[in-house]
Amino acid sequence: MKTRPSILLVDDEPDILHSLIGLLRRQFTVYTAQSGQEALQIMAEHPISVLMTDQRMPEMTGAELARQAYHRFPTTTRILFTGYADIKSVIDAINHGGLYRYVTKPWDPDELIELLTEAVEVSEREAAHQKLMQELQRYVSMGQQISQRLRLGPDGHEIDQDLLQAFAQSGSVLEELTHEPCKPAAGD
Amino acid sequence: MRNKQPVLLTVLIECESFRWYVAGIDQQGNTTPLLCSEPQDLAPYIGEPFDEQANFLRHRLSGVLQRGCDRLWGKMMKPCQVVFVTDMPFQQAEDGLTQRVADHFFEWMTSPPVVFYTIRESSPVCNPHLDSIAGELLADWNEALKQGFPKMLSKCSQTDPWELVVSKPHPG
Repeated sequence: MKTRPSILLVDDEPDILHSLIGLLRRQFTVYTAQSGQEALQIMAEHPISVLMTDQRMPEMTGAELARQAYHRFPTTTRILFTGYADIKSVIDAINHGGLYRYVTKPWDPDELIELLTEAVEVSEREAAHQKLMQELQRYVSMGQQISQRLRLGPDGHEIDQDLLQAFAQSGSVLEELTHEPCKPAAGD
Repeated sequence: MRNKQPVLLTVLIECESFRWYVAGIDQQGNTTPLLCSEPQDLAPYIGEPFDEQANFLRHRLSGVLQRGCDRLWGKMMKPCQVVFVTDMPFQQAEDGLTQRVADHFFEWMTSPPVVFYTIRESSPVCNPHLDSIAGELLADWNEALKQGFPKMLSKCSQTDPWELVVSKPHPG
């Protein structure tokens, strides 16, 4: 059974969080925080697919929290909600917090569930993209090591069998991630 | 879950006591009391500069709407329009504050749309006359509001039907 995706809700008003927990707990694993600092702590301890934060909070605004989360936890999709907004906070949040959506209170609960489901999909795509990029970098790096050793010629070092095996495994992972078999290079 | 009963999410603001009540009014004029605040809940705007007063009221009343929507959802209801009613202009503030707040909600909130009324002074308590200061009531809902709002008012004197919401202290 697929685990429920994790979402983090941030609002300094506990009863808003309580309502949201009641609404969302069937579809999601719900974490809550009453401040930006607490939210960052939770994100450091748990993988979070979606961060949904109120804008107007003491100490750290939602826009600032989104900005920090954007840099520290880039695969987490960020949503800001607020009762009202001045245009500056909207611009800040979009430009520096990489927002997925800006939601105004009151939201329609059914539409909110749909929005969060979409946001989870965005997060999963982003995480898959990051994994692909990391694996690609690893593969290229190993390929460079192998080609370096091949260039050394018959008097050079032997190619490490573990490296060759890791290279082949990395190629398989890339095939899985891209859903494409690795095609032989021209001339092979 | 999509087949929810449409209602007017109606917020009554008692400006002298700085208190609010939220109820749903269906198309037959039946009233479902939802939430109310303590007296003085809206009072933190007193003494603030005009823009801060408007900001505070926009923020707090948005939270009121959010809570109201949540409670309606649990009752298989959904707001088709938000109706604000103040029984007089906001007190201890400049004259324009009520209009500023009304204009904000009318312009900012489009789904569901907002209509903002004040109760006409000297109109009968049992059948108050509402004057719109921003927005228009949806077609076909006039009679529902006319029937349902006096029922809402009459329930405000009772404590049982309302869930009391205690707001977090305003940081000032």
